Parts: sequence; C-alpha cells; structure tokens
Amino acid sequence: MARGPEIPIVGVLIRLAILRAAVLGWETAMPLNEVSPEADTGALLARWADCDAQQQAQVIEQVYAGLRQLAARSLRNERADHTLRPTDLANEAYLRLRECAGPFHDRAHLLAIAALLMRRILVDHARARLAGKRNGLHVTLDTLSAGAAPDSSDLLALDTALTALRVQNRRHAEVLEMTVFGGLSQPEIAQLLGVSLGTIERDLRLARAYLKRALAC
Amino acid sequence: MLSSARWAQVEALFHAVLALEDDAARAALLAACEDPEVRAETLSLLQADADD
Repeated sequence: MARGPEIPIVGVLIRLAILRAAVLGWETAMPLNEVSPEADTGALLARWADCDAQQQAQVIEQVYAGLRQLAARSLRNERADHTLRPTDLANEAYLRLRECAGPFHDRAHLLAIAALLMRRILVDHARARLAGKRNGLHVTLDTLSAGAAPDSSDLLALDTALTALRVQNRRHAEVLEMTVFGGLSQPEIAQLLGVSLGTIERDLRLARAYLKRALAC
Repeated sequence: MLSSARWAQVEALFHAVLALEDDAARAALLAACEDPEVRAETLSLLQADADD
C-alpha cells in the first residue's frame, strides 16, 4: 500500500509547530508512518496524472481529513502553549492547497507545493505576530497564545536566509525548503527536480551550512 | 552577495574540501583558492557545517 500524501503533510505541520527545533536541529519531517494512510489515497495518487478534476479534489479532501486527524492527535500530545495550533494550521494549509488549481503531476509535486504553502503560512503568521496584528491569515490564528516571539523571529530569519540563498542558487534553496517545510525525502526531491540523489545530498549539505550560519547570527 | 559564478566556485570548493579526510590536505586545497572572497565564504560555510 502506497503512503498517502496526508502523512508527510501532516507530519510537517507538526514539525512546523516546533520549527526552531526542526531547523536548528536539522531534522526533516517526522516519520511518515505514524498515522495509517487512508486506503485509497495512495492508489489515487499513484495514477494522479490520470485523475480528472473531481478525483483530484477527492484526494485533496482526503489530505485534509489526514490533516485534521493528526491535528487532533497533536493537540493531545503537544505542549499547550504552541503559538500555532495544528488545527488552525491544518485549516489554513487546506484552504490554500485548494486554491492551487494544479495540475499536480504526482505525489512529490503535491508535497512540494504543500511545502511552499507551509512556508508562506508560517511566515505570514510570524510577520503578523511580530507586527502585533491579526490580519493576513485566513482562519483562527488569532487564537494564539502569547510567548513565542523568539520563534517568530527565527522564522523570519529563516525566511530571509532562504530568500538570500535562492538568489545565490535557486535549487539549493528549493531542496532545503522541500526538506524542512515539505518533509520530502531526498529521492523524492531528486525525482522532482530531475537530478541525481548525490546532487540533492550535496545541495542539502551546502544549504544547511548556509542556513545554520545565517541563523547563528 | 556573491555572483553566481563565484557561488558556483564556493559550491565546488565546499564539496571538494569535504571529500578530503586529511586536515592538511583540506587546508592546502583552501589555500590554493586564489579568490579571497570565495575562500572566505567557503571556509565560513565549512565551519557552519562542522559546527554540530
């Protein structure tokens, strides 16, 4: 049974709630096997290219179901003082994912897009927090508790560093984005970008060094 | 911000140094880089890489 897309996406949602650790500790998204996939999502994705619009919408619905499921679980397991509630983030990610018209070529492509969405959501959120505003987010992120301004600063520093890295070499930044924000495996990224696994490994090492240096300042 | 040509040199030197195991060989390879900006950037990234 192929893994459904909801698992890495949900995994990265949880990771992103503890983004500082995820970035500074250089861990990728959580293991993908912590939630059982919905039975037919993987099968649908396997023939994603052949799916019509209705079927693709169905996959996205299932992605959302996965988001909600793990969000509920994480609310029981995680600290109560996270500034980004997983449910809120799941909602926002889902809304933005639905706005992407596609077509998604395959699972890796879907996840790569989700990775970009996650980054955007969190950066928006961090900006709003630092600005003391509540606009800029679509749903209930204004229910956040206080106390995570350092995390917001880190996130903005991360965004700035990734943007700078993208100017130096777009692929280096993308590989890191897909890893940290999207939870994609290195083989998946290699396939998506059409380069060798060795290239991805080297890109990732260089990009991590670049980002570590930027965040250490 | 380095030019893309220089960033490509940094990238190549970074991986070339990492591929060496011997510290003296690494230092020699870095010293052989004639572009001070490329050398400094590479060294800085190597330090970040090693700083785990």
